[in-house]
Amino acid sequence: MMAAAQPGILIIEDDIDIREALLTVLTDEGYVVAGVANGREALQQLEECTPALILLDLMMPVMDGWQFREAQRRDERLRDIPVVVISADSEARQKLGGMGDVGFLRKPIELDLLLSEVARRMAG
Amino acid sequence: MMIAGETGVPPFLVVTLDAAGRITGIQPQAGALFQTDPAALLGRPLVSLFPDESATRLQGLLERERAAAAAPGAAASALEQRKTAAVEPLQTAAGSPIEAAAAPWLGSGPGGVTLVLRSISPGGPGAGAMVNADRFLSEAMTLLSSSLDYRITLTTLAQVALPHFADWSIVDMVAGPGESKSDAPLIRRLVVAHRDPALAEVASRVQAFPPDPEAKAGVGKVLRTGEAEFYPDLSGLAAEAATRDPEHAALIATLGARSGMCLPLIARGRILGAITFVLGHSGRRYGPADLALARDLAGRAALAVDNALLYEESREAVRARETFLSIAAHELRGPLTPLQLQLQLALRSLRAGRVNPEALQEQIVACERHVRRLGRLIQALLEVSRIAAGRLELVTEDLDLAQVARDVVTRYAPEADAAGSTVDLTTVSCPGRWDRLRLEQVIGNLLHNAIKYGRGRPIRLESGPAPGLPGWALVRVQDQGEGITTEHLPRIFERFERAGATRRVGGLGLGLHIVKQILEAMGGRIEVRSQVGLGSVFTALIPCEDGSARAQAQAQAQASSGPGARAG
Repeated sequence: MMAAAQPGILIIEDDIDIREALLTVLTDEGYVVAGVANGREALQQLEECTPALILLDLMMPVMDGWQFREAQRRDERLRDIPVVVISADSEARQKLGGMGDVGFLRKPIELDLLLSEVARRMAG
Repeated sequence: MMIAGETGVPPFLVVTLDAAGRITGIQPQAGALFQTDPAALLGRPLVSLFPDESATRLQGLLERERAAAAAPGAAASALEQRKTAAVEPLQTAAGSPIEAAAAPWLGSGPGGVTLVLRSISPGGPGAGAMVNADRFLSEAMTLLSSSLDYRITLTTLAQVALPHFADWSIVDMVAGPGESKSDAPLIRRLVVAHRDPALAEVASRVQAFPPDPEAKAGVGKVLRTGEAEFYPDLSGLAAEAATRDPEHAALIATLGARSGMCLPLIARGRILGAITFVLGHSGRRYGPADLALARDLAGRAALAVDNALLYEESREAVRARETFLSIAAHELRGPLTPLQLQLQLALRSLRAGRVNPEALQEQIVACERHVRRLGRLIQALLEVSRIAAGRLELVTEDLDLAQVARDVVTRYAPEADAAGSTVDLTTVSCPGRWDRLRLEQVIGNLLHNAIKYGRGRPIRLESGPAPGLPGWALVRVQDQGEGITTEHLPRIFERFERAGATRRVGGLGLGLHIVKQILEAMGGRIEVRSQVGLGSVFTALIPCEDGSARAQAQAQAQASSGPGARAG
């Protein structure tokens, strides 16, 4: 799953189907993408690489999206990586308060919205 | 405790006494007034039948009467001509107000006195009660039916008798079967009200002493038997309470307790709770007529409480359904997200003319998988509504539990991998007759749950014959997850309950509910032990032979034995 090159995008999502679909879509678009199942795996992955963007699910076992974001912001090396939260929770947007500056995409994800948000965040 | 008939006391009673004040003749109906066998009254001093002040008044009346009779010149003819008799207001030990008048009567014998006892309460229903029954009941019902809020209804019920009919009152309710951890019904002491605002705080402290469900007298007994308890004189009971709990007894002494009644609240054949009325500092006592009125009030109040309860339950059901719908919508979006992405991607490729048949086939296969997952979720939703409606059918066949457990573990291996948990499976061959799909569902849901809440730590799954329980099979799933708090533990098998931090873990919250319902339909049961921080152990016990017939018979027996069955 891990590309040989430095991944441009890290997907943190526990649902394997969603993770695979995002991988397919973004790889098809030409990005180098890696995927992990929870926050803890993401932190392990981030010891070896620094992606240009993180796509973050919120409700995950082991370490959820909020906990990951907290850990990320405490880490000097990681804190500037832009994050786009992807959640099926219709109220998730209101729950992002403590997370700082993050993008938001609602599940089910519109392909066009996803690609434009990814392009914008990676350029910014 | 002897309870007097409510009809027995005639408006007038004639009593003849000898020189020592002992009863030499009395109407049989006096038994109802004094709440004793009328034959036992003969030979007893009349004064001994009255409490404190009333006894003193009666003694005075008798002495004056004897003095008048013994006065020089007094003769039968003189007595006959006396226009007015001395009249004394009295109250019986049971609290019935009466008047006693010395009656001119020939043949009382030397020093003897004849008395007429008369009920001084107005006639009509509830005659002899301390309040006007009709007005009291109609006012009470207006108040009780003014709100559908369960708590307000109970508070109103406690207040409605104050101050005219009771000095203070207690409302105890039987908790629902799900709320009690043991077999004994859980009693909640919900409201204690006192007529004296200065004592309201003391009264509320009595709430900390819920009655003993096994008690031989009082609220516990009333809730078990559904029969009213009547205590014209409470002093003995208060003394007994003091030996059990001095603090409780001290509270009761402060509130005052001379006389009391405890009535069951029964609606649709179910004992919902009990209302207790107590007289204390006002110095009054309850009589049979008060008991009759209290019964009437409790009977009507139970309907108001039942209405409020039903309303509360229906609102709770609506709330649960709303929660369920929002969780269901969230879960259904799970498979919908990749489905939509894959389809849009395929469409995009087709439109751009970049058709790669191999990639397209992969996408379609993935889409099919997502559609299946959606189908399974919808199935689970239907399952729950089917279970709720009591329509769970079992199709049994000969199986080995060990094989079923192995199949389930294989199926859940990818999920366990993704969560970082290993599943350590120990099986011992255990043949039996079960519904394969339902059995898989039970083991699968327990395993899924352990993976979901297991914090990525190893999970143990054991299956085989239940040790020490011939004819029973056991499935035990142990995780090392966050565990379940004691507060949540009794509720985890209810619909739409999720024990863990809800924001962390998704899920329909239906898994354990389905497990329990299926096991019950199979004639089995589920047990859980859990420690916060250490993890949980779920143990399913399932009869090896077809338990569904027995479970059905059991359910029918329970249904036909009705609500009274719990009282035993």
